[in-house]
Amino acid sequence: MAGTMQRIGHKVFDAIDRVNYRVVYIALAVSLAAPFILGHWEATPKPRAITRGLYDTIEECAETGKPVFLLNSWIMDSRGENQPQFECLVDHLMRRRVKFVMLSFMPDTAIVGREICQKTEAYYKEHYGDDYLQYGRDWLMIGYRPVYETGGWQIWVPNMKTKGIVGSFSTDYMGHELTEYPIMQRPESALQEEAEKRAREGKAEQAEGEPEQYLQLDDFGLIIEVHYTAQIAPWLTGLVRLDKDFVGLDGKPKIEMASATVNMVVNQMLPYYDSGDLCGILAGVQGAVEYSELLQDKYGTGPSRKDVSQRVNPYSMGVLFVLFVIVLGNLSMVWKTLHERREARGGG
Amino acid sequence: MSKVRIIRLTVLIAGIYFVVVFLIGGIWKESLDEKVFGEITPVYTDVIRVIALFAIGVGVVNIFMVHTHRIVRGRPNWEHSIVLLSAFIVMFTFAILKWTGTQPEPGQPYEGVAGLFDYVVTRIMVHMNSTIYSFLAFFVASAALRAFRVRGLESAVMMIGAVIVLLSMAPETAFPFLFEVRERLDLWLNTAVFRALTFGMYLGSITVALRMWLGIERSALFEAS
Repeated sequence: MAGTMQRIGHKVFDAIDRVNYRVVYIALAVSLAAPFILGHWEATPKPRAITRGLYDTIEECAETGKPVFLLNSWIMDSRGENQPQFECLVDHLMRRRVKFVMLSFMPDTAIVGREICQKTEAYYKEHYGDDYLQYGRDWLMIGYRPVYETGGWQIWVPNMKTKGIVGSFSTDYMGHELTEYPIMQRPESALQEEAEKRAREGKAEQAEGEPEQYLQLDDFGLIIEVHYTAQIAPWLTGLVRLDKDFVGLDGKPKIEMASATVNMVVNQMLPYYDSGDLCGILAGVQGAVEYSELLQDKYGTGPSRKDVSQRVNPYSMGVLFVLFVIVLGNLSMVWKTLHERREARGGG
Repeated sequence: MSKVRIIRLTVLIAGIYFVVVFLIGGIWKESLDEKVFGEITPVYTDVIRVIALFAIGVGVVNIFMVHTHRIVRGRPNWEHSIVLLSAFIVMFTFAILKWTGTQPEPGQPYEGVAGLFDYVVTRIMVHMNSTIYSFLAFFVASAALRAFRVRGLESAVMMIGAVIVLLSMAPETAFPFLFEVRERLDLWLNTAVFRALTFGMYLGSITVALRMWLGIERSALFEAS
């Protein structure tokens, strides 16, 4: 009996060792397609602290009325992870009517992002009436701008900080002047705050002058970067170096920053979260599912829910498949090693 | 002055600018910021724009020259060149149509002829890009079977970490405690290790940057041919 088992085991593991890569590819394709064929299932993970941090900050922006700057710069290669994240974030911002300005450094993402925003806006208008959301009043798309147009990664944040949004990007994606849109007007509280700050610093000539009328980088309550790499570092270095008031007494930035990125590079972002530079991180499609869960818990189903929960199933199947083949490969190796030792001892 | 010297001098001057801005800018912030970001940086940004636009122009001309030659002379894979040039011309035409066509109300999608560009991007290009990247999954699966083997203590530790992380990456798995374990791994071990790596990485970057700045880096850029 033991001999038969050994022979079968040997044959099986030998076959695994010499399996054609096409078989692996087909098996993976079947695993990935399974959720589409058999139907999707709901995933309900417990939201992690990094996800909750971002969610809470947006909630806080809804309370304080501060706008959000959304840098939508993922690429289609990372669509599987970044798109659900983007959908969740736009869903939350629009649902809570948090004003947001969106910029993209990627041409195709600018268009896809705009479509998602327009669909989400249409959904909420249908449910709550036409006046619930309005382009230019509640959200705005600067659109695609090549990085070189803004002077490169290291320069464009300080540039925007010095020149303001209108000074850096004069038009929206359609070429309309940004100054035409109500969202670009600074909130009354920001104007007052700046006037007080000027007076406090004793800059007589500046205190007499009018504070900047249009939205400044400091006025944003949160900056979110949806990206396929860990690009938030230039933001941090640019902002922290530029403004001595940017870091509060507690050592944390006064403008909250968050990142939504692919699972592969989340490790690079975690030190920034740990130090308090980032208020939250959406880690891959899993982060999107957790975020969707938070939205579902508090506000019920929104337009992003279905897409997010459908995207995570094939992803999980892929991850589990990779895990399965790792285990299989290692079992095969262990079996072979034991077999060789047994043969060496003459146990045949 | 030789070409190499001109390049070295340009790099040195540009380097001085960045050192001033990023290292000592913070000390004399009040006086420097207005000067640097108000006056110098816009000029620098314009120079970058001009260079980038020239690069794009050169790229377009180069693509046309290379592929037209290939088609005319019937070199191997000339059919691919036809596809490339056709796609280029089609997208360029659609972009012009979007520019010159009927503009929608703010916040509304482009429609009709003006919407062709967006249509091609969202219905064709997006899916092609995603498809190409998704091939990576197949290579990873193949490598996972053949290469990810536990051959010693170090690889065993790595494998245990990988299994925990992989299992916790699938939210449907029936091991909720793994999420807690992964969170600890991420925030304790990973953060410490990554900080150390980042320090090393930036020290290396500074070394290379210094060598380039001072012109002691031996590369094609700094050596006479």
